[in-house]
Amino acid sequence: MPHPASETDFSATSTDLFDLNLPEIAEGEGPIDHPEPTFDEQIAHAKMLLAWRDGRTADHPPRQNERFEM
Amino acid sequence: MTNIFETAARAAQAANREFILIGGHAVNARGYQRTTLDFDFLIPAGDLTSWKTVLSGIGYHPIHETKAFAQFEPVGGGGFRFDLMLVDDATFAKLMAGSEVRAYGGCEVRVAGVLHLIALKLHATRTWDRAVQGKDYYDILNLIRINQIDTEAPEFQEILNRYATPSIRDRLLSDLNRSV
Repeated sequence: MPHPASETDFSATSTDLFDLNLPEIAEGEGPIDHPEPTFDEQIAHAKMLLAWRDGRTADHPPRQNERFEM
Repeated sequence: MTNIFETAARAAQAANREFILIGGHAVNARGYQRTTLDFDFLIPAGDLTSWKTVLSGIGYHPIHETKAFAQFEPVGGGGFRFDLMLVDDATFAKLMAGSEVRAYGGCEVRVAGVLHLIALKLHATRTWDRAVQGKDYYDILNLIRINQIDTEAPEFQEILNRYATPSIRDRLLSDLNRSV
């Protein structure tokens, strides 16, 4: 029976598993970074994580200028 | 209310496209809670065309694309963004082997293994603009602490040697020693 994938079981093939071909990104060639979240967005994100933890439906984060009602 | 993450995950499943959750939400799924406003998926580069169809189907359009990344935001702006990191098939297979399925965001998704996640974060700190932001560094530090990573283990030493710059390596080891 195949052994289930687990992040704790790298013993047999660790060298292979960590030999990743990751792209070298030159300055300016990376992804566009998202602006730092506003306070409202941080609140919305925290509520989303709580909702996910509790198994409820998650909210979409508000747009930049959208007020978030507590 | 829309759970766009769950919607995307189910759309990908319906299209038979695999992905591994990386980035800030993977960090959240691994126990360190911080704010992030985009979903980072690692995918095989050859699947990008299919992913454009998947994301278009849920109301997203591409805003930026390089050889290693493709980024999407909702038509009309606002809301979460999807950032796809593109890797070759062999690298994707290795990250799949180290990943595990976890319940996150209302569905079950593959989350990068914590050591792979640290490797990706260490790699990200090699680029100047990411290093300046500093958030990757604190992700790494907190992932190590929260997941009780054995920093003396050969696996951890291996990723440190492979992916950390000398300055990040020294700073990390110094900060970890100070917290003991």
